[in-house]
Amino acid sequence: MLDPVDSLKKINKDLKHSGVRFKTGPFNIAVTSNIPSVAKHIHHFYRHYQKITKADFVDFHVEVNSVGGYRRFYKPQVTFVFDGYEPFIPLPIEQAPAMFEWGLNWCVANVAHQYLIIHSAIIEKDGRGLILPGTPGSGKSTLCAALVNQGWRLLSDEMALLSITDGLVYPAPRPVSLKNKSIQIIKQFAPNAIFGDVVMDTLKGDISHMVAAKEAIVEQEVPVKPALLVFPHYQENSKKQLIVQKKSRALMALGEHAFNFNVLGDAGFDCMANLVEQVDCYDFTYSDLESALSGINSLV
Amino acid sequence: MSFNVVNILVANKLKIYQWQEESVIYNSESGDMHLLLSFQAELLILILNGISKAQLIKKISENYQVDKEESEVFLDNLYLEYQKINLID
Repeated sequence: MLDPVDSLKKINKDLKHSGVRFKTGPFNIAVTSNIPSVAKHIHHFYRHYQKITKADFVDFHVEVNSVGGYRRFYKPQVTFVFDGYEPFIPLPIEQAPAMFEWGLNWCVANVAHQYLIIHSAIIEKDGRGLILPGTPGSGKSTLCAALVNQGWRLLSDEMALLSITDGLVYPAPRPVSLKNKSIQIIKQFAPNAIFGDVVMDTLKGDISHMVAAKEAIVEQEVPVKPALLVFPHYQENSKKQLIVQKKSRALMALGEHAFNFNVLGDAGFDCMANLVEQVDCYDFTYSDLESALSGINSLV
Repeated sequence: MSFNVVNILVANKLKIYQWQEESVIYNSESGDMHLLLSFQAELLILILNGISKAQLIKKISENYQVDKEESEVFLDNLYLEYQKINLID
């Protein structure tokens, strides 16, 4: 693990010079940054992750730095660079930790084509994987955060990495990203959960991250066999409805949530079809967390 | 496995996963997925395999219990629809 005795000061220094290197699931990450809030974020969220050495292969070399020139003094900004490429326009520097997380998501979604990557939360209980695909606002991260605080293992709140060779889902546990009202809902639901600072007024609204449980990090190399595919839909004032979904409909819906299905072509289509065939598929509409959790827990 | 997989590599690069009621077709040339009733997917496979129009009409007539004229209209509409979504030329 990143040495827990490493002080924030040391992480700050390493980030500015040699970089901080750690492993999340199948990915080795090396990050450099000259921004103190990124050092604080890494110290807060990643200090328990397995450290890698300079000799280890690195999948993602990323830089999260402040923009130079006069910008340093007038509306300072942050850039995210992956292997010399800037996938995003600069953002206000207050959003640097969030940009680091979004940038890592971008790296995985655009590079890790050994997996079918589904935009979903993925958690596990008793060896059964639950995939919760969802568009923003569907409530997948909120449900995921609540369920991991009820004993489910976190594999990812953002992307399910479905192996096209063995059909298993591989973990890459990182902080759970919560937005707007969900932050307070989960803070009330799980008072012992550890959060970072709230980053206000991002393109996605107010953002706060919840620390991934140590168990999730310890088991970050243990894949899971998917058992349930639930498409959540948060709808204010709606009645809870958990409906079995036809496999054909689930396959069509899954196509909407797979980042790299067209990159993988036939192999991606086969992978999705095999997934829907082996799992129970549901469409799930809910309006409040309590009824949502009872609905999900009724499936296991 | 409860589904049936059909690969059609003639004219179009199509792959079909058929379940009892519905089928999903993937066109690897366009990258599009299509949801069809399984009977209509079956007709698509027959069309792409070059089966005669008369045989298709007979099959439609038997499946939907309709007369030849109605079956022909159905088939013409199906051709147009499949052309529109690039499943047939």
